[in-house]
Amino acid sequence: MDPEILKRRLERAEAEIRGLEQLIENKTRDLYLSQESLRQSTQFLNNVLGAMANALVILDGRGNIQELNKAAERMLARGRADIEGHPLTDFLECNCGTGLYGPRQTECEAFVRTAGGNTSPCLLSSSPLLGDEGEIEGYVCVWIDISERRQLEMELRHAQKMESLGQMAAGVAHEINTPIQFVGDSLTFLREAFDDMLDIVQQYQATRDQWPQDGPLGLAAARLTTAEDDADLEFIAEEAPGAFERATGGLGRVASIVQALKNFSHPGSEEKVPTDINQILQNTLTLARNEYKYVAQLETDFAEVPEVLVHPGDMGQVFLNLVVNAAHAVEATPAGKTGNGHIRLRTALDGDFLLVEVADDGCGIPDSIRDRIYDPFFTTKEVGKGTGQGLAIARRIVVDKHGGNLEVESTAGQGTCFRVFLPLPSEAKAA
Amino acid sequence: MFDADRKPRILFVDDDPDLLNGMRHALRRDRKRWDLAYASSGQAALDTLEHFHADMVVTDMRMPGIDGAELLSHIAHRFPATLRFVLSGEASDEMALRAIPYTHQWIAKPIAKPVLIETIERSMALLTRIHSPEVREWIAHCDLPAAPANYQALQAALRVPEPDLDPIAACIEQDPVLTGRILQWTNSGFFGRRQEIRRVRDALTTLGLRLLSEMVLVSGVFHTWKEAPEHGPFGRAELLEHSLLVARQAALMAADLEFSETGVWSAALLHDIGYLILADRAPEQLRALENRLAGGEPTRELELEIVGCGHGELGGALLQAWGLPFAVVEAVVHHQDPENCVSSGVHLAGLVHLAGAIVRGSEPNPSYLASSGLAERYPLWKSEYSQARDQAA
Repeated sequence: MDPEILKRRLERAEAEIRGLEQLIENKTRDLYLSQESLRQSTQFLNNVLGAMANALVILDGRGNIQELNKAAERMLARGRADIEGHPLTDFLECNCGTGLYGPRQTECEAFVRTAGGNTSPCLLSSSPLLGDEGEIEGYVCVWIDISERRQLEMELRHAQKMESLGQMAAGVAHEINTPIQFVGDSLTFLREAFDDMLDIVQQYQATRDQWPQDGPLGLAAARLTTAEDDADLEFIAEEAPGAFERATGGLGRVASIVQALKNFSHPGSEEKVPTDINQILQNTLTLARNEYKYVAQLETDFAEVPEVLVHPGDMGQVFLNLVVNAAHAVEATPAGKTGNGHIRLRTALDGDFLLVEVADDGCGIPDSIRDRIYDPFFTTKEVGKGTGQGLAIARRIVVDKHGGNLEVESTAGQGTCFRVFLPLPSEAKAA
Repeated sequence: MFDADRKPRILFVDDDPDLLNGMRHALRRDRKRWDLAYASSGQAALDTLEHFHADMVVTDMRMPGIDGAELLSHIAHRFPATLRFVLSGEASDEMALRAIPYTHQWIAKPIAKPVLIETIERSMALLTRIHSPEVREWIAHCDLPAAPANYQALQAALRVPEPDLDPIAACIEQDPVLTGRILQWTNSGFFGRRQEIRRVRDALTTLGLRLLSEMVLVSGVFHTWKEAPEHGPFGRAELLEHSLLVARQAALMAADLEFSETGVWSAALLHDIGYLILADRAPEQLRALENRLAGGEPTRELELEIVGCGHGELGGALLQAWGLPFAVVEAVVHHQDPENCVSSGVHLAGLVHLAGAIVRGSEPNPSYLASSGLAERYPLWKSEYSQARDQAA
């Protein structure tokens, strides 16, 4: 063999090895780089999933949870171990039945049930995960919490309702005030005219009594006496003043109800104004009379309290809600059914706060639902009696809008007492 | 046209015949006290006024054709001596704003007859004692201008985004006309008032700032003074300064006495508003007073001779027609003769009187000083005032 040839072969082989080594080195570096980039994108993806405000879960083909992000863990309010492997429907109630697991993406509203038993509304979307052959391997489900939005929507609807009620009340007040005016004026006229006529009749009677007993005058006198007896003039003279009083008093009541309705629904100024809370309570009682008068006796104990800075219309709503709730609670008891329940309203000074207490001896609030009474839409009342918004709105008004406090003390079967604390203005605190 | 001895003439206007008949029936017994007429539309009211020279018109707001606000504006121009009242069930802010420039008082429906009678009687009590038709016309003409500087300061304070009530109240309290107008509106039935309001700060919480700025705009408080002199014994600047000094002094004294009634500042600020009426409506009378005056305050006799009534009565009659609280009106009427007030002791009129004497350096009414029990404090206040004045100088 020609050594030259061998040498060249060797050189070629060596060059080939160097080429291969270079290739391996390149491949290794590429591999490293792509692993690194894979690691980075996985981490990025995990970060994204973890940072997402929306809850995300991956389900297997049977609907059991395989993976979940932090938001899902937080919203379900359970540890990861209590969630993984369980069907999603254990924690989430949606109104589209089994439609969640279909071949296409679906969206629906659902309720998340936390370990504590609270439910909160959410918007859920579910899409199938497809394998290479197009078969369904699982599902990815995402949901967002919409309870805040729900609450705002509810408050907006409520505000709109109050506004249109206010406009209507103003219109009704105008329509009713005019007839109240002229019915009252006519009553005044009739009463005064009656008094004047009675006076004249008595003068006639006095004249008649001096007529001789016999002759044509005597006959006429006898006829007059008979006519008087037929009409029962004595009864009329005695009873008519009472009838006038009754009519005038009743009209006064109508006027005060219209006024209360107007005060209650008039949005008034948008600023907080110094307000006599006792006056608002009185107003509330006038409006809610129909709710409590057949079920409970009312006691009021209003202390002399300084004016506080509030939105009067809002506070009227709060008290109306509490009084109506008290009436409903009393109505559910045997005493309430016979009109012998009790509702007690009290105002007092309590440190830096004005305290308004609405207490009843009604059915009370069972311990099991005590935590949920302020949840929007939570209600134990039958359809048509309550929307579950009353206490949620009351708390929002007292706590958020006025910097006050709303407390409840209740024993099932014995009664409930709500306490509203409103901050006193600074000059009243010093006094 | 006017005869102070005849019965007051009142015209009621409402498009609802039931209401008008009800009113006619309810006021049957008052036919001896008043001469009453009724009209069922704005046009009918204007026709009636051609031959029935009413001292007061009481009209509904919502009426077809000429409505209440329009009717009152016609009356203000054609029958300027007539007091103009609204009796309304309910009205929008917009409607009230249209009526404000021409309305003395706003009464809310429903109103019981005795209250209506009292409101009307009280509004006219001083006016009917003034015999000169000319003077009555000055009073019924209700748009009195504010001092331009005060008006501008208020406008500026209102333009601040999210303005605070206190600086705005302070601004209004510098000016008698602004103060008077704001008390007029907030004491009216338009706000379904519960109790009388005597302080600007209280008035503002009732009124709200949006309505305040709109009311100020339409109320005519910014029309120009005709030919009233800016300076001189009855110059506008001097009148304003004097009112402010008396208001400050009276407020100091009230604080010193721990006097619990409100309205001291308002009453003191308004006590010489009679001169402002003259400055606006009758500057020639004011000049005549000035010419006959050797200095100091004109006597009541001199005012009677030249003007036809005292400046206290003149101002009081205007504020009464505006429906201001009785105690404030009384203080304005009797700030020179506080012993003639309904009650005795320390009251608004007495404080305004004594504060006025201190500021002017004139002698206080000796019988009031004795009967009010303030004879000991008075010299102290007086020397404090002169010390403070000397220091300021």
